[in-house]
Amino acid sequence: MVEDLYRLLRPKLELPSIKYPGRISIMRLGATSKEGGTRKRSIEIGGDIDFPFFTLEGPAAQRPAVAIEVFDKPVGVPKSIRESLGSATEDPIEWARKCARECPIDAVALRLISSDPQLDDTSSEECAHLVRLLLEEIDLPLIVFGSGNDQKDPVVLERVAKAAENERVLLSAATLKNDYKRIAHAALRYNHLVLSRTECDAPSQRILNNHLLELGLSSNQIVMDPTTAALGYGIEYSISMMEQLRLDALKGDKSVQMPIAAITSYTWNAREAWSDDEKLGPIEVRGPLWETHTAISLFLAGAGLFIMLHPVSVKQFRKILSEIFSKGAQSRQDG
Amino acid sequence: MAVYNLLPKKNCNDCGVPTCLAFAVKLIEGTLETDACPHLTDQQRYEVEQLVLPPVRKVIFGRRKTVTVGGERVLHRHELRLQNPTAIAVDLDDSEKDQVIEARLQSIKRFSIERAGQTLRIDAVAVLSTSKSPDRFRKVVKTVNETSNLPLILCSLDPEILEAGLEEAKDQRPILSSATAETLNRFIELSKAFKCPISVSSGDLAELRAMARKAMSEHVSILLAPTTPETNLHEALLKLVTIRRAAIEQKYQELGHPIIAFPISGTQSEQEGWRDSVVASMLMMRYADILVTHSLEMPLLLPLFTLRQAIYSDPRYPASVKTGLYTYGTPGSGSPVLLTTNFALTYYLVSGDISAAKIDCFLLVADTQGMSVLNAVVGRQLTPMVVKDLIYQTQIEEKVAHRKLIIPGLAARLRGDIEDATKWQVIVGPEESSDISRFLKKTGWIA
Repeated sequence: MVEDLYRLLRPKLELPSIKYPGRISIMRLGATSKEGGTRKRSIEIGGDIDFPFFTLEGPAAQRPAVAIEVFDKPVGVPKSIRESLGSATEDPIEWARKCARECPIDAVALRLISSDPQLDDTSSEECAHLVRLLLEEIDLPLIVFGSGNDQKDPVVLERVAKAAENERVLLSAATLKNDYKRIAHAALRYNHLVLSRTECDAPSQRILNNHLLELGLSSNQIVMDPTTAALGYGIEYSISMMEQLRLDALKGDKSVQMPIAAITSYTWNAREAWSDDEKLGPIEVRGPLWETHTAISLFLAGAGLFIMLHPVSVKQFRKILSEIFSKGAQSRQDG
Repeated sequence: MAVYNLLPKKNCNDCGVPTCLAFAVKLIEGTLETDACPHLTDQQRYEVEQLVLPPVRKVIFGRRKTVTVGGERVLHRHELRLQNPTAIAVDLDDSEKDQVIEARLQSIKRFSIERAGQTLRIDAVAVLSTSKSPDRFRKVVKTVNETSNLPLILCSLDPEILEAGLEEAKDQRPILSSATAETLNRFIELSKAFKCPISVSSGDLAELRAMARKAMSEHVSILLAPTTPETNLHEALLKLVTIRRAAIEQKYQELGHPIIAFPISGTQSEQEGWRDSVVASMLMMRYADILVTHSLEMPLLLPLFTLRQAIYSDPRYPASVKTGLYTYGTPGSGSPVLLTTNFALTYYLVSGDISAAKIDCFLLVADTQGMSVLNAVVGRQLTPMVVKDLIYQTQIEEKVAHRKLIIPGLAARLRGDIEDATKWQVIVGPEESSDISRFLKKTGWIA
């Protein structure tokens, strides 16, 4: 009786469906043989028309892409990662191969830290050689980071771009402090993508993106990296920066309508991720979970490309994603 | 302006804000309440409150300790701020043995995390009537009430069982969770009799809205429980987002209530503990105002509490950390002394990099009113006098034999002035905290 009454009284419910004028551009990372490269598959990132779960069609336009990070030299790699991967961390190709075999990853992110003049000052020629080897051995799309050195990075990335011509590699990163022009030109000439990196500041992000667009890159060749801060170490800045950039993009600001990358490997600087402090609970659980939480929060804030470090975090993150993208969403297939 | 016109316009500062106009702004933002003004008549107060009511109503529960949830005005924290942190409640199953219940209550009591100057604890206990026995429920509620002064959430679909529990928690203002369309009227009676909020539950948002309307017409304070054990994660998030957007963007008053969610549902096995933890984070990010979780394990709850601390911080003020002396590792009289600012992000980066590199050193954190190094140099929050006071207050001169201070690269231009003011030798360090370790090696401080 009572139940029937409620059914009768049920008021009409118009679900919110704000249609924004803007849309996030779709970029394709990696190139298959059909697309002029040699990757087994390429992946689409972006295309969103709102925040995850704000549209009824699916959680997001695409399941976020997940890349695992490998270093050309295993310095400063957290203990937990070394224990998890064993001797594979001593060789970037072994490292990538092991992860590609054991983890559900979409891409590999190579960090050329040894190119830092204050470390080994590895020549751009040697860096390019390693990239070629990696492309031959691993058939996943590739992201290449320099060492973060403002002078050296553009030189290294330019040489890498040439060596990996047409593979649609994400060159990382163009910043306002380095010669971003050189990186953009290399991306245009050899058919690659550019990571546009700023330090948690929306105006700078806009300026750098506009510079890159003026140089001839289109918005589907750019990914934004507005800085990932780890959970407990300023993640709220990253969340708010990403949400703000996403809202501006949806409202029509073309200078920020690019997909957003979250580099959650920085999580491993957080004390909670590596400390042996027993009060905080067993490190084997706590460490990877810290990175997973960081990733999932930034996914909800709008990030679509994840560059992660711990294989267990990758597995956890992907498991949650497969749960929410299992039905209804026109996402790429798992596996 | 409508709010301002209702205020006394005396600019008396009794509310702590110099002008009535500024007070009106604070009321609209939700940072101050009408009680702050002693000059409003009851009628004026009522009218002002109607105008400044947040799109998500506030609910207060508990008595000896109280928790406030809801009161939200925005969907994204950068638009204003998120108001009342998600309450984290832990479940307690009444079908467990007495000793198990006692032990769990002790664990709940003991659970605490010290983080960024705050002590984080469990906010509430959710007593679940799994036994389906009113007597058992009553007995367990009694035990909980005697052992702990945390607010209660009494969970059963059967109002008679809840009433038995309420007899032991008469004045404690627990939440009654949850009414369905069939039991709503009985829940409303209980809510009126015991003056406590209820949650209304339905997997169907239209039905939920109808129930909320009914409860509101009876002036009952409510929470929304849109998820059931059958709801999958995708649907749960979609529902929470839809409800909050309907309340904030479309001003659906019936959906403008705090949301209670149960991420415990969906647990398959013990190894899946990490999943519940991540799911809880997702629900918190997307508008759950109360989370009832099962685990009391530190590694599973720590990230959740940390995320809460982060997203509920006020984005309008720079986050700052305590100024003073921080030590890393086991520094000695010859260890390096570094300087940074108390802007939280700067501090966290520096602190994280020093810790990760396992450097034994002292870090002086200067009071720059939450400004980063570059801004503090330009804005003159970081001055030689600030550094001099810091050296004095921290008594660092008694801890190290040398007088060498490593300052951030971005503060290089203060070098000479700091040397003059402090009589310390000032060494300009790197601009990026990630270079600290390399810098200290290069300059021979560490091997």
